[in-house]
Amino acid sequence: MAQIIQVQQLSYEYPESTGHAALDQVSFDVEQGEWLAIVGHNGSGKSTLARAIDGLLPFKQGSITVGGVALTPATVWTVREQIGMIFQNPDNQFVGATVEDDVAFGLENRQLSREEMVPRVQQALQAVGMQDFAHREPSSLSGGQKQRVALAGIVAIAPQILILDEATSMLDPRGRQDMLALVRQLHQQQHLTVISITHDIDEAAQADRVLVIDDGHLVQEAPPATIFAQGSRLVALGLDVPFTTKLADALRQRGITPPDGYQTTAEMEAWLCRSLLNT
Amino acid sequence: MSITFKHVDYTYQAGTPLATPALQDINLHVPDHGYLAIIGHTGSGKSTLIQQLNALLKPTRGELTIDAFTVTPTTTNADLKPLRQHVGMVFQFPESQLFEETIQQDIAFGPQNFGMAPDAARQLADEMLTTVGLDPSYAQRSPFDLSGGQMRRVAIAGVLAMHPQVLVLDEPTAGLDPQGRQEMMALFDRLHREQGLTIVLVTHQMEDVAQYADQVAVMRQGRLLKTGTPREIFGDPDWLRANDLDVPRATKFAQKLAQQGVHWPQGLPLTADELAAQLAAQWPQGGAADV
Repeated sequence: MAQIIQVQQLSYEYPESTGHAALDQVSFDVEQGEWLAIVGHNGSGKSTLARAIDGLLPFKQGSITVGGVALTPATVWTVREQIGMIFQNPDNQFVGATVEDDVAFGLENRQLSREEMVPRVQQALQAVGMQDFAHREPSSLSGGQKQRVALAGIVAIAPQILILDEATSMLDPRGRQDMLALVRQLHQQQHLTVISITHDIDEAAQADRVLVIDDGHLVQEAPPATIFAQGSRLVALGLDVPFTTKLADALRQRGITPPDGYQTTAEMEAWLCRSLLNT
Repeated sequence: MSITFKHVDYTYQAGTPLATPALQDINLHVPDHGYLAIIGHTGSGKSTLIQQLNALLKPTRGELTIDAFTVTPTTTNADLKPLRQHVGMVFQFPESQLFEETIQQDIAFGPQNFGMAPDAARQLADEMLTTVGLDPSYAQRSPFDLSGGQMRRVAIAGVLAMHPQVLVLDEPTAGLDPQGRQEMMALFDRLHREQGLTIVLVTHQMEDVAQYADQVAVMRQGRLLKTGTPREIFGDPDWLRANDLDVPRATKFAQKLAQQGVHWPQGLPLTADELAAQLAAQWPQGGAADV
């Protein structure tokens, strides 16, 4: 598979920080069509990394290549055309007076004709299940609905890469599940490469691979099951301990030994049923 | 301080063509030192309900009693100042309300507004920093140089500086990372146990409800559907699901096992620990409860 993003020896220091690197020699690749989760506690540098990839950060050391194009001040617009980004707070990313105006904004910037724009806006709203809200004011929507409209804005311009920067952290559980299901669908149907920066263990579990960032360093790179097997250390990494791990610990304290390593909910359920019911 | 709602209605823009009923016939009692969790879908009336507690919104019908204070539709704002001092409100994303140049000034603002001398208010601010788990050396720093979780602690310190007896929390952990969430909930639990604060918590985190609350109120479409202990409320997961609400992870997991034939003689467990204890009690061999 082709590598859609290559990050090499990337370092960055915020101007007002004195000698403390927000990112320190970070290198990794992202494959086309991959779902990559980036985790780390608050202040670890993971959002800085996402901003660097989108050309929002004037880094001086290291290199970033997106879709074969080296990111420089001269190529930043070409690079950004390949990337759609959704941020944490849904209220901070609206520009349109109505939902459809907002979705059309990215297309207007690309100078599409009205004939092309109208159906694309409609299709994008349909893809996220918000077609009935086309004429509504964005401020009248719930948080989950707002993030879906933000996603429609990205679907309309069909970038190769979607970056979610804690995009579900302000939503209620239902809104979070709906949003994740929608991203999963777009990932599969449109072969979208997804980078999700998250604290949510369910969101991280969706990924093919997880990067752990701590204090500006890339400290680990592994599939979710390997990351989740670290038990209570996960809290220090900015994630919650998976429910099955909590249950396994509580069972061990009572002299019962579950299988080693991270168990999914279904695996844990099957093992308990076998042990208890002899089936 | 105890809280009692008696037949409280609240209508937004009452008496106009745009009148929208938001609360209908709310009856609820929270005892002194109680810990109430309010759950319900977005738009169910949770935020409207808690805004009654310091009379930011006054009932359009019925009455609300908090200790010796009674709020009715005709209560005037002048009567409400002592009540507001006793009921501390922590709104969603309270860090957005920080405004002073230093953290100390920000925390001292409330007490000074209620007439405390500047020196005493500054000293109180330093004490409150310790209470919320921030180092006193932060006092002279700008609140805007802090991380999101730290800023939220400063905002909460500002509320605690008023020495409230009731603390009202509207999704206080939204947007924090798991460690920040745990620390924040542990802080409220400590205030509840050590200082006897009555806590009213609005949340979507059912794990927190199971772990901390002693009473749960379920809201839907402006009405109070049910009140009970977490065990009573989560003991009927199907009813909750029918009302679009979640149950704790452990309860959900236990219910799945029940469908496979596992029994829960002591009722559906609410936490991983309770779940493990009930499993151990029926473990075929080697389980702690067998010996």
